[in-house]
Amino acid sequence: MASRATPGPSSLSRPGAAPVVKVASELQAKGTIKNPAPEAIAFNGPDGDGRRASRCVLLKNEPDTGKNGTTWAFTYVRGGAAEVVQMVHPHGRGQVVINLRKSDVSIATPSTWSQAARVIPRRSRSCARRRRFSR
Amino acid sequence: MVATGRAGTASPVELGVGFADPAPPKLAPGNALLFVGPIDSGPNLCRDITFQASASEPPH
Repeated sequence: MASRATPGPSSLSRPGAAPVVKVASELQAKGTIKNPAPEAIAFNGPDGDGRRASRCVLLKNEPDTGKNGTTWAFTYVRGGAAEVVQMVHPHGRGQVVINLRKSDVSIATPSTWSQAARVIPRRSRSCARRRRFSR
Repeated sequence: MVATGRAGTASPVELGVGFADPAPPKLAPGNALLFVGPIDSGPNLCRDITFQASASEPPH
């Protein structure tokens, strides 16, 4: 799986690549989803640590989606006390969660969302993912 | 920024308390989700969001 904060134009036009779904033009905490794709399912998420109004968008793909990896791409803007954005990729028969925080990135395969929220960042070794932030 | 990580065996994620309708109680195989975390001040947002069912390895 890959998570890219700025869409890579080469991946959008690569011959033979899986089609790119334009999920939405914007998803904002305390806001609404803008220009969602027909298959995008938007809903509110949990509050936490005095913060509120998280937002989510779900894509229900075929069960074998993820066998060749998946890519979330977007431009990320954060500020103030904003804590996290989390990208959930299909992986095997479940999901892998990428936690992108102000000062760290972590990866987890939780069975519950509360486990995903408590991930402690750590360094591991097997593959690299590149991200760029917009503040 | 380059981050490295290793994903082991995964199971469907149970969303649980705090997720509002129409959120499913549990993600199904193949499901993908983007979560923009809660805030008390300042922006937290994603723009020009895309999803693709393939991934290319970035250069190491």
